[in-house]
Amino acid sequence: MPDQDLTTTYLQRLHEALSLSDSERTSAVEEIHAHVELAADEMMERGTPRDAAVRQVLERLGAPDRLARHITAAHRRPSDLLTAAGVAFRVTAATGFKAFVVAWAGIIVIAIALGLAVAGVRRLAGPRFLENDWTPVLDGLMPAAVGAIVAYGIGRALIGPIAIAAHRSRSDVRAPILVIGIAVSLVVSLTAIEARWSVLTALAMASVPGWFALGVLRPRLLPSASLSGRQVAIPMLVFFVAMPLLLFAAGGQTTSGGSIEYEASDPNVAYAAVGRFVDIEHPPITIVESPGSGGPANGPGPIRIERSGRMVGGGAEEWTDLRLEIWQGPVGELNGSALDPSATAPIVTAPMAVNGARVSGTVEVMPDPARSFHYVAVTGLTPDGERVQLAWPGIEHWQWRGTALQFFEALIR
Amino acid sequence: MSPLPRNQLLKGTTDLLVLATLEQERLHGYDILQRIRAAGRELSLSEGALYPTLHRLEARGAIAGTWEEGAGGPRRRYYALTDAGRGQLSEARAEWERFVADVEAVASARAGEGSNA
Repeated sequence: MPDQDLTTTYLQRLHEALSLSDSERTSAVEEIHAHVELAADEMMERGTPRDAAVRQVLERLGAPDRLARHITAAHRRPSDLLTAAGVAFRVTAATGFKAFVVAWAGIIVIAIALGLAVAGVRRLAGPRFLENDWTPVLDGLMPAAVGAIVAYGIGRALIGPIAIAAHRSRSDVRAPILVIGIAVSLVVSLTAIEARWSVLTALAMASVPGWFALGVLRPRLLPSASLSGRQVAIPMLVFFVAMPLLLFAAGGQTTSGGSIEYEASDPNVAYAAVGRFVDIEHPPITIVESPGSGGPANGPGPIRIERSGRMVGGGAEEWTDLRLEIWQGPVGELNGSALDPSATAPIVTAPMAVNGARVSGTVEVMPDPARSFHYVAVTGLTPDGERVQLAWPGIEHWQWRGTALQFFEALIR
Repeated sequence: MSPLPRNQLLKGTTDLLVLATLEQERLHGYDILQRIRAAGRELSLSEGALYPTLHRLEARGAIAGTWEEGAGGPRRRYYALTDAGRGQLSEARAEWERFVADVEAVASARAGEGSNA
């Protein structure tokens, strides 16, 4: 390697390895550069060829990483660790905010583009293309994706500023940053963000510390070469040009969101497992108060369900053992029935109190995170011992919203 | 191998050597190194040890560096002793003299005991 290249390479490595402010780093490198030139010139005057002279001077300076480590250490102060903690907080807040905004903006743009593309494909392939309700997946996937991007961004941004503030080499600060960052991101990702998790999305959220670690270790794990403008622009162009073209090919129209339509069916058939309706037109009990779910309906449970009503025209003596029954709803969204097709018995049942014409009851349900609906029935026994439905059923809708940790706990239970 | 490795002895005295070299005039790093080598004959202070020492002394306020244009080459950073540095040099000299005296006392006493016996 020619002497100029040798010097340049040495000074570049020294510059990269110095954990000092930009001005201090430039100054230190320039000083070493001057030293190399002076020392080599003097050796040349004594007859040493320039290449050999430069090589000897650089050897006497020692490996650039080692020299950088010693020069960096010379700048240490007792207050460096406190300064580094402040820098870590500032960088985390600033980078986290920027990454959060960029991540959500990116997700919104991608969601719009994909939504338009799906709409376009539906025009071509029919309305059944991707007709599933993706809300439960997206509800957890989006915060997990944002968490991953934020964690990666923070991990990537922390090393340099903390190394400079602490006057330590990057390799010295990498391990403590990893340990503290993984611990913090694990706690935050699992306990601070509430969503409607599925196994997939909860695992995605649990992977956030891994993304932080990838950001910290990136220079070692990923190639350092940055993408050129063209490498970024071409996929972006393809993506954003392909979407309108796809739509154009599809006729340039988007479909509006459809409402859920329930198939008309005989309630006595659809809900036969619960019991026949005594009078589907004029039920003997009219529910007058339906406060809905009490308690932590947004968390892992239990859910409190209350019902009170009034006997129409008396008749309490006709029915015995009045009960409030909670039946399992279907997995996923309602699709024609509010009852799990495989249900044969209520998941919870409680007696209803009868006070004159007034009836009331309360139950607590530990819900299944995979289901959003419960079928609520008021039943009683006929003189023949047949259990029948005495009121119009209710459908309790709730969303299991909680932290990923609560989700995993519910799964284990 | 010498029972008293010079590079080990040199480690604790680098600050004193640099401060003392700068006592009379301001110099840049390469000159400091040359002066020490010229005056100390067998003192082989390395470049790799000199520059961290200069950074440490400057950070401590013992010396102050200023940039000056080099003759056709890169700029050179000249260092001068500050008032604080003069005080540190006095303390370092006194400490060194006490250290040498203590070592001398022990080494001489052993030699004396041996000759008396």
